[in-house]
Amino acid sequence: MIRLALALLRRSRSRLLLAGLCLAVGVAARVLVGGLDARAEALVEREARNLFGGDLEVASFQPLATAIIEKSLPGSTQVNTAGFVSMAAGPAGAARPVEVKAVAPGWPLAGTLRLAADGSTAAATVPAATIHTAEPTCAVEAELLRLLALRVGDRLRLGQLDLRIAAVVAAEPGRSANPFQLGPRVLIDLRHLEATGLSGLGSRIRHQVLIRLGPGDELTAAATRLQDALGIPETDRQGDAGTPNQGVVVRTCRDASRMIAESIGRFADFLRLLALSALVMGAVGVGALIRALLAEQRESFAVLRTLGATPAGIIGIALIQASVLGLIAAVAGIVLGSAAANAAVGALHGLLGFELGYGLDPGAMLSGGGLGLIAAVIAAVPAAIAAGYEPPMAAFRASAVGDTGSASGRSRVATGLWLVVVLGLLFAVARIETSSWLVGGGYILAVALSAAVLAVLARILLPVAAAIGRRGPIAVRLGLGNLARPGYRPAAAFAALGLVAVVLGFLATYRASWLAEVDPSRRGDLPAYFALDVQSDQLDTYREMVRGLGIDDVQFGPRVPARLRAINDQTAAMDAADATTRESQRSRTFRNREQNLSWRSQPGADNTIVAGTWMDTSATEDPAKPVEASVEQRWAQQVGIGLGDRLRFDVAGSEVTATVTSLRRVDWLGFRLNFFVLLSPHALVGAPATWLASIGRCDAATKIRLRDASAARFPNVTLIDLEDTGRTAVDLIQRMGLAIRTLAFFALAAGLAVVAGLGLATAAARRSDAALLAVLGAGRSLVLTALAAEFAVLGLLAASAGVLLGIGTGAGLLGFLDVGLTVPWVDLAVIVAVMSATAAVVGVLACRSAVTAPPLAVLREC
Amino acid sequence: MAVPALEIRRLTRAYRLGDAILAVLADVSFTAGIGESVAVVGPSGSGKSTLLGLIAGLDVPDHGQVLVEGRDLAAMPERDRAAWRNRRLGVLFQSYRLLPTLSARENIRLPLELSGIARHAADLRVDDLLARVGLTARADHLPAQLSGGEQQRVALARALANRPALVVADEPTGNLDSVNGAHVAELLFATVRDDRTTLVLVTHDAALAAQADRRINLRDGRVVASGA
Repeated sequence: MIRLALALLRRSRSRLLLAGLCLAVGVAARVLVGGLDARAEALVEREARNLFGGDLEVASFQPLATAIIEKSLPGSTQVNTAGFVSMAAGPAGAARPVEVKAVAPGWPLAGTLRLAADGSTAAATVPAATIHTAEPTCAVEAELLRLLALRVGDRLRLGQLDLRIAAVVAAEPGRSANPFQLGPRVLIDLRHLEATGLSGLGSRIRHQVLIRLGPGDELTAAATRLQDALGIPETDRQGDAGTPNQGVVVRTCRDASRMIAESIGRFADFLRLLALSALVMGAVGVGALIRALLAEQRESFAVLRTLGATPAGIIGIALIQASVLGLIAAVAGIVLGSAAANAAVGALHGLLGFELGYGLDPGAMLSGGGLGLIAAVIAAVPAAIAAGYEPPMAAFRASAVGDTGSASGRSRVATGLWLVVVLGLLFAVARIETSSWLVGGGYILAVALSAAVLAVLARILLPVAAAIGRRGPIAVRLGLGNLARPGYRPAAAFAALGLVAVVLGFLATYRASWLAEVDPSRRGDLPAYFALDVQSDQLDTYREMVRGLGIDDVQFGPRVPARLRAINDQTAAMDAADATTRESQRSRTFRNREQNLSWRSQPGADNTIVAGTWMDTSATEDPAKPVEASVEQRWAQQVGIGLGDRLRFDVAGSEVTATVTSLRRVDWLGFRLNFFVLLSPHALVGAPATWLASIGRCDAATKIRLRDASAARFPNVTLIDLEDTGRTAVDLIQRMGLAIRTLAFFALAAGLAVVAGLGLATAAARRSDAALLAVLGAGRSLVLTALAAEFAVLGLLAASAGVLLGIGTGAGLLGFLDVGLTVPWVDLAVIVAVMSATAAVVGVLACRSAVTAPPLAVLREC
Repeated sequence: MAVPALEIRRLTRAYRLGDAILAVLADVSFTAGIGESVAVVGPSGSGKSTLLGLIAGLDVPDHGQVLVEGRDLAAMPERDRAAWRNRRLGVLFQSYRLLPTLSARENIRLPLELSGIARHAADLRVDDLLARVGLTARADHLPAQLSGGEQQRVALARALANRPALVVADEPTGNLDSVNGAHVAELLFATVRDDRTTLVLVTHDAALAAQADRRINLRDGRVVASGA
């Protein structure tokens, strides 16, 4: 049977290769994404110690005594560090927020600190000892030099200490790959920390002891031993959950690497869905091309039936042919995807906090190739069933090119069942690819709905276009007439191109909407700064300083660090082992991390009570009065609580239990001071609080004066420039956009391959038409114009419909995320125009034989 | 002396099949006068369709000439040949070859539009042709909605749309039953006779060939007999 299946394919090599290409593009996209993700995860796992700078760390907001560590981990090596955010100023007084790390000699204990003599980080040859001198020196990231217009050798003021910039940080173990950092790095010697005056009472310095284990000591066992010795309760042993509260946190290099892997994985999930989309487009194309391939063989199948072959035998032959096609696609896709992955590694060189390394990824190759093979077989099933059940006499009588005849009742039922199976499989794959029922389900819902709507639109728009075309010139009439021509089945190409446009329209809308929300150049309402860590006794003087500069809009909010201990008396903390999906991982992060509690008399302008009633804040004196909690609705959703639930917090060692009496929707993109959890004011009396301030918009000169004055008078206060933050977010969105556009290109290529498939599937009929037109005296230009008109209008309609659906999908998701909709009409018009033009070019090229084939030869063969 | 509508002079055409040369037409000559009908008959493989392709200017001979109204088709630029096919030639195929997305009326109007005739004039001509082939009531039907005989009558009307000097017909009744075949044949001969159009007809059908003014027998690419 295999030999027979292959023999029947001999005359259809070009079509077979094109069908293979349709899928190969999707397979390549999957291999590319899977390969990069797997490589990043493997690297993070393999290089966990070097990326972390040691085996484990102990962190606290109080200075740590190392004796207990030395006792529990004999043979280990320790080094102390301290980290905090502060303002750093140049000699001219200009200041910027920086992330300071004060390190003792010997740090790091694993990996390499690379320092350079100037901004050229490629030549990182300065010894680490440069910052461990009696003279206060520091090493800074090149970005700070740029921001403050400084050079190596210049002075930098940190609190009360002047430091000489001795080197530029080129690479630093332990520096998170998180792009949202509050400022560039400044490395100083730990001995000089006190001289800065920033380590006093109320400072938010994170003291750490980095540890390298002794030979033979196992990481998890050592961490547990240390946690026992430090008396850390079981519920606080989720070291990857973030910052310590008043207590002590032990974090291993594996915890840290898992966090990096998870953040890479979340973006990779999104890219995998795009790759899956490219695969789905390819499968649509394969379905159309297989139908054409089998239509060519219908007479052969009819002969086989007359010789005794069963419908099942014919279906088997067809599926073997589809498998051959799938194998071609898998091999081509694996080669293409692996090459693209290695090219991407080269392109990403120096952009990430780590280097991915070149190589092949067997897992990604196998899964990508496997998906391609399965997609080919599944896509071929309806056409194979139709071929198997076609009555032989109908095949003998048939003469229409590309028409496989009408489906029999049995094949209709089988095709319906097939559709259900396909949707189920697609759902399962999307769930596996994203580790999320919500995202996987949302994706499959969006794809299924889009495909259904596009199928309906194809049935409406294509005949309408053909009817409108009848009033046009002859070339347009002929071209557009083909959009409603029986047997041509342009609906598959319409659906594939439409799905590509849905993806592109969605991405463009989503990106534009986020950019509109975070791009400071488009936001006239952004506050100038957020001020962090204002101490209670600085409130009045800080307010006076700001108002003295002519800025009246300054609002303060208290921040009380706490941990969520219990929900309705059940332990709130989640184990890593229980967090198997993206949703549960997020829920775990929300539950286990440090919470910032606050209080206020009114919900606030950016807050809307969506359930329950606002708390009674009138009496703050009665400690026996029940404590109410107003929580932000998404926080409530992530943590899994609702109205009436009791939350028990640990606030500086004291327990506070509050009942949820209201849920709030917060407009976070208003960039005002807001908190997830607000408690009755009386509950937090006496709790250690620092204050955040939102400082309203002002002109650029005032803004600089404020920044420099704040750095000089309140060195412990960190000012976050929201314009800078916005620009960082814009930069991040742009950078992510590059990866997304690359994948979208794969999807577009797959969609265009489907258009080419339509052209090839109908090429014989088109040659026949062109030959007839030649007989009637038409020139080649007429045939070319007709072809171009047909495919351009097909592309135009599909792209327009898809883009509109993409806007709708984007609007739905953005609405869910409370993000305003911004429709980038110009970008979308360009997408539609490009898709229409490329569809025309690809379609004409696929049908070029209609123009080049000698008419007489064509008339003879028909 | 009047120039014949069609003059075939020592026409030779061969094709290469691998290493072998297959001579399809060898030294074929004949003429057809204005308004004359000529039936080319012969067994399969005798070169009838090749001859028709050469007469229609869709192929060029290896040797010899096809002269239409005194002009050598092979010597014409392709653009002129296309214009000649549009205005002076009508072709009728065995399998009708109507464009499936155009109605009967639109199929007939196609050659008129290609020649740039004004819409109103074209409409009048199409209406006249529809009436002549008896399909006025079916004018707006698509080919798939017409019977074989009706489709061939549309094809005949299309072939005559530009009042051609020459009509070539390749087995025009080959796909039709005897009743429809006879009807189409009757229409074909009547219209070419009325319009004084020259007809070259390729057929296996002896009865159809007998209706022509003259018959040419082809065998193995050569004319073996010719006569009324």
